[in-house]
Amino acid sequence: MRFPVGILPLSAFLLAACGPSPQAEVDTTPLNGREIYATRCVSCHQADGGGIPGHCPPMVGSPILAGSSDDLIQLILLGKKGPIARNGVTYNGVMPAWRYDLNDSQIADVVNELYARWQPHRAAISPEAVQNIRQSLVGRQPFSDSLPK
Amino acid sequence: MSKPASRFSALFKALALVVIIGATIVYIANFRPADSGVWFGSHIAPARAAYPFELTDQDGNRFRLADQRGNVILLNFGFTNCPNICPTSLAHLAATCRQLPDSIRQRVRVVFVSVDERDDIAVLKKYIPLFDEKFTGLTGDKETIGNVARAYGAFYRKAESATKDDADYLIDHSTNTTLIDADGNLRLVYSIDQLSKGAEMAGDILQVFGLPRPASSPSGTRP
Repeated sequence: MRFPVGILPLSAFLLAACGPSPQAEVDTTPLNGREIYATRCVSCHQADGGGIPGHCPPMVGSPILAGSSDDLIQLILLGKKGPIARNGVTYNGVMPAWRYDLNDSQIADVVNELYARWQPHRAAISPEAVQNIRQSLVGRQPFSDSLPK
Repeated sequence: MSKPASRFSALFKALALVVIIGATIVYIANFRPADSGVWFGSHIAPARAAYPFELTDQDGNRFRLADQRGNVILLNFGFTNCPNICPTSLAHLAATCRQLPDSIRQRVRVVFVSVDERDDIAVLKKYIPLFDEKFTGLTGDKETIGNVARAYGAFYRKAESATKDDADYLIDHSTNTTLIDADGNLRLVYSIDQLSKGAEMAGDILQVFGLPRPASSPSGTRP
């Protein structure tokens, strides 16, 4: 049996052409509230809602979470940049404006996830409630601040 | 006198030998030892030298990539008015850094290059500490920023919805973060979705420094 010499040059070129590994496939399944919290929120607010000293206030005891759901939805849609004070402590960070990335249903889902974790007595909100707030914010810039301090 | 068929066979063998030797030389010349282990980020193989650049940081000091040998750089591009991508990316990178042992953390620099001419030193000085005091924000002239962005495959342009006289325009931009190793080589690229996996990224960083990956920082889903 003869050795297939012709295959060797081809093999050598294939080795030389080895490049980066292929990208993982992108999962386009819509995220639910729990998954959104895990992928968008947890790096600042932390899994236990403890926040980051100096940057991100804790979820636990948050007056925004305890207050009007409209304010909370507005905060999620417009984001927040710069210092806020909580219980005598100042936090200076940035919360992204999620109105570009999350639809009404997803924002309702994540709000309800926050309520389930830290305000379990609160009634769930609907995507329509988010839609109304979103429409009222047309023309407002991200980070434009009119929320309770 | 040899037959034409055998002359052809000899010629073919000689040609094959030349090609094998040539290909072997090319392969050896480009060969770098394969990285051991599996990576979470998209691995650049073989590692190649990162484009050298010089810009100005948020303190007004010159920042030269060449001066960063010994440090791992996590490089991304964006703008401080970015409503979502940039604050999310930088917050994720800050979370990754918090997962590193302090001795390694001191050798990791997160470098944010602004592609927005509005982001001068004063703006960066206010913005960067919102995520981490140790992060570096860079600015520079339009041409230099453009060259650096191109060299790292970063894309940006004013958003189409921006009006001519609108000072509040947004910028569409790519979202990848590039890891440059302590020898100044491009090693890994992360998509924005990967940035939320701080433990996996921290594992990559340790591995880039030649340290073992903790059992708690898996290399991710890729084989």
